[in-house]
Amino acid sequence: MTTAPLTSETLRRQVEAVVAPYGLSVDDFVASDVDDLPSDELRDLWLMVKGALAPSQ
Amino acid sequence: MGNLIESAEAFASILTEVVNGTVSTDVRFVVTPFEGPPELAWVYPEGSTPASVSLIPIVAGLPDGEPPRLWLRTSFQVRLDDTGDHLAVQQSVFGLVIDEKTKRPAVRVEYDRDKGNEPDDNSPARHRRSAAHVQIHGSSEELAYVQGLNGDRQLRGLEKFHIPVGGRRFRPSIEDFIEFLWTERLIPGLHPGWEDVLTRHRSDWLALQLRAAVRNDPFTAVSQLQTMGYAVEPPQDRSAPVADPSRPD
Repeated sequence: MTTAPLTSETLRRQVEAVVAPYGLSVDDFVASDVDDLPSDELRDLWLMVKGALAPSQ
Repeated sequence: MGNLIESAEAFASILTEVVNGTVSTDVRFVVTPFEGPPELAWVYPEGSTPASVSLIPIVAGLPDGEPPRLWLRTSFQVRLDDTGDHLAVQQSVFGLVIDEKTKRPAVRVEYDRDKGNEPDDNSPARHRRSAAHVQIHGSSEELAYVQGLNGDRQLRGLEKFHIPVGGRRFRPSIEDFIEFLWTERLIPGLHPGWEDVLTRHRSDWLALQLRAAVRNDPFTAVSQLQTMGYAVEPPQDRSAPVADPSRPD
């Protein structure tokens, strides 16, 4: 089964909801090295969104 | 050209069969396309988002009605490979989770396709870790001792070490991980018939990886076949498809 497509804006909002409690912005998170992230929750998320999100211009 | 969503759906069906045939029931893997660019999709249990992946309850071996105490966490980001013909896992994570609320893992297998030390990487052997690696959560007195010997001022826990497991081609599959959990008595049981499910899908996986390895290095493959007495002719049509597209490499 295929779900509704995910837009970049929606993905960005979803990521923001996860990283904000860690004091991170989406841009900071995307630009991070995965090994510098403070939790496995963030590692998993970073791997899943890598390549889909880029720092905003 | 391959079709990303069709190929991803076929992969999702395989994952659904593997998980429901071994550790869980009524789990369905789904595909979420990304309105890119780039063209990619996620494959994960129904109800997930890339930011929040639903856990898979491990119920095999438990008495009827008993709630799960362990969970699988697994998600994949997939794309078509550089040829546009074959589904490829770009990044994946699977692990054993010991707490549903915090999603705390005990052991995880990560794969990050572009972070390996592969011959065709832009900068082979320049990465800090293997594309596929295991992270075990815990501590090791022995590794703490080694870190101390080497002057590390801030000792790292065991989960900070990326233990390499096979590189891009022959990395562990979800079938390998589930069987590892069972053989090491880390889960209470598996469903009857699990051997057939794992063996069939693992055989398919290994054959697909071998095909991909041959695509990456046909000269070595030809050389080996010739050594074995085969006559190999170069293809007339280099665009001819050579692999089953139903599972990613």
